[in-house]
Amino acid sequence: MTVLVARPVSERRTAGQRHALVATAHTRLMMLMFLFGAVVLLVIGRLGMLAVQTSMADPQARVAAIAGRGDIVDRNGAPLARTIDAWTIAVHPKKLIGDPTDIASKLAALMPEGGDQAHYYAVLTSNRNFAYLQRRASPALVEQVNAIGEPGIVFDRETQRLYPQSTMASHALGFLSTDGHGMSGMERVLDDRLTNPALNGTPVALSLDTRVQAAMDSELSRALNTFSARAAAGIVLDVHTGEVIAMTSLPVFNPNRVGMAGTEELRNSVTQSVYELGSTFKPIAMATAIDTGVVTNMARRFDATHPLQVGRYTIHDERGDPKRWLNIPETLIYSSNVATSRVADEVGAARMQTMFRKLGFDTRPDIELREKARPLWPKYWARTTVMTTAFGHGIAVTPLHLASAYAALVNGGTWRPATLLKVEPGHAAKGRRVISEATSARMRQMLRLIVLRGTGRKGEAPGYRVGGKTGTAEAAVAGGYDRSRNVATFAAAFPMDAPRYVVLAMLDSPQGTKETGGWKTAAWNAAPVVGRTISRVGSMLGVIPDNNRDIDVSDLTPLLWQEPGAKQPTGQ
Amino acid sequence: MTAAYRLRGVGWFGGCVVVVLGFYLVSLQVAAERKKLETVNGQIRIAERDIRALETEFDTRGNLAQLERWNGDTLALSAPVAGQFVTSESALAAIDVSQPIGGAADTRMASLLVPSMPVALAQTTAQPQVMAVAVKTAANAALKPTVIRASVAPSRAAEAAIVRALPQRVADKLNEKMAAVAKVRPQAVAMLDDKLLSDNTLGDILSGARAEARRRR
Repeated sequence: MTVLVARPVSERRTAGQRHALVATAHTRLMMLMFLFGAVVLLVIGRLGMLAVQTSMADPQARVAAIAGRGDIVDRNGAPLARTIDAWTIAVHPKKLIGDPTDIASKLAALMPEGGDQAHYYAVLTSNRNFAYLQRRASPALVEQVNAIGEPGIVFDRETQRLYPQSTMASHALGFLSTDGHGMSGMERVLDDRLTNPALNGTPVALSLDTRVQAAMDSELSRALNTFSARAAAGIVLDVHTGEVIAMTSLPVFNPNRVGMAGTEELRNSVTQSVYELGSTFKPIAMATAIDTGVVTNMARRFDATHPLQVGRYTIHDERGDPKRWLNIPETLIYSSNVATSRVADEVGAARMQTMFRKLGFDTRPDIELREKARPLWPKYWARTTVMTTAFGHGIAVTPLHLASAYAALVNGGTWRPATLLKVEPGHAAKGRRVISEATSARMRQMLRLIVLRGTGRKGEAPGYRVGGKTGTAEAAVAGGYDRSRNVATFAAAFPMDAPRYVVLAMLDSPQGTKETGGWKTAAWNAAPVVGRTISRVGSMLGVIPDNNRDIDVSDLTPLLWQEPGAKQPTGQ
Repeated sequence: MTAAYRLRGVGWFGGCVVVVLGFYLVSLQVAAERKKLETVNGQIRIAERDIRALETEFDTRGNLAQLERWNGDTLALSAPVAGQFVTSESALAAIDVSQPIGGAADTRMASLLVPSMPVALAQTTAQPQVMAVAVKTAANAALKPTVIRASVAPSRAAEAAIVRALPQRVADKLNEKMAAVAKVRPQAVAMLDDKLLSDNTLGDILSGARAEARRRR
């Protein structure tokens, strides 16, 4: 057998062929390299994404990064409104697994303030996708609700506005809507400032002092309860800068739970309610008379022996008031309507109106708040109008108007707009001159005499040299006056030798009690509020009580004559 | 020669790798440090937020309405009256602080808190032996001329401390009055500022500080 072996044809490739082969190999290698590169890039990219995502996914860090609404603090830096992140408890009713009846009863036991079992049952079985159960929950409550073990109930953190002092100064502070915008008070005024990311790191300082505000709140609410009054208002005002140190309006609302408040609670009586403030206007009328030169001698007497008949209108004094000729200080001390009317008659409508306009009684009160009421300014100034406005009837202003006017009366005669923002020393508003320095000094003496000898004796705070005027007006109702209701006001300033603060308290429709002997005039209810408030806060405000110091009233005391055995004035 | 030539290539390559790796390590180190810094910053932010939350909770639980309620229930402290302020240094020096507690003119310290009503203390103004000092923080410049500053252990909430001397008669009367409302311990309350920390606590703090100082060395 022959084997035929054929030598294979040599496969010697041509140079061109080899080249082509090498090129293919190169391209394949290149592709492989690109593939590797792409995979590596992919891995790196994924790593980067993960890194970014994890840093963003940390819920605590995320919440911390969100800048909330700016804080509001008082003049000393005590927080009045802060933004915190609170837990919210919500439910997805459609994802509920457990028995709604059972869960509802547990929720009702844990959160009784949110509603009863039936309410929670209705929420849990409703057709909604999502419902809040509690928007401001404590961590302890979250833990307890979590222990129910229902996956349909979810928890989340949400920034929330908290007012640590709850009802205190609620009308000045205001509250927020659910979407986080100020609805009233300073929250509304400062909305842009507080939500501006560039500025909300630093808190806004208000002119309020929490300690003074707390004292005013507690004294006023005690009086409101004691005398079963409908409403009350209180202000402490710095006479030199117009800063509002305390602003109280009762009844109050809790800005942390606004939903529970009605319109009565939400109204700010200090700036939103106008009242005929009665005899507290008499010092203003007297200041006008003295300043315009109508009365140059304090000893000049006016006839108060009988009621004053002007046209169809008769002006009376209280039954217990002295029926004789009264000089200027006596007119104020006994709060005589008749004598004041005679003075006002000589002053005349034009000058009286000018004074009221200078004090801003014809416009809304000058303060940042938007909740302001327009005063009731008489449409026609008859002779009787001039007389009645002189003792605070026929013209209705807000308590803040009156406080600003008193500040001008005692501070040397300069009226300044009130402000709720802290004023740095030396940056007070320039204001406008209302009365002369000399008239102001005279008014200080007379206001002090009213507290020492007249209707304001219950407003005295030992050592603080208080001066002020009571005012009791019959409450104006549609078409006339309600004799059974009155508005009792005491407007005061202290210390009278160098006035620094005006303190005003007003009670709407106070009732007489056994302790007051049935009296419901300001001397019995509003004046003690002011006296007690001053003795509580005076030293905190930097006024040192001193029994050996007082304003010099020696040139007026000889003018005061008291009938032997006469009763002390009861006030009006 | 060729081998050496080739090795030089490898050497270059190696050198480049080392250099690049060195640079890369530096940048890696920087990135790691930066990351750590960010973490610490995040922790600081969280801590600040927690502090804020706790502060807010503290303020809310101890708000002024609540403090007043406590004062009405148990503390029964009242605002200082004119007789409790001294007007000159000599009057301050005249106060005898070494009197035994419970004596006729014993001087006690108390924080200035707002009372529910300036009750019986109003009568003390008439008593000549009532002596007290009001110490205010420097914040209130208006007080400078008349009030002598003294360093009394300051408490955060109450900015002023009063050294008060109650005549026994008034104190007894006050006690009677308060006993009807609630159990009052005027002594315990008045002594609050006398010594804020007990000896034990102080000792603990001191020994702790010493131990720390030793470790540092």
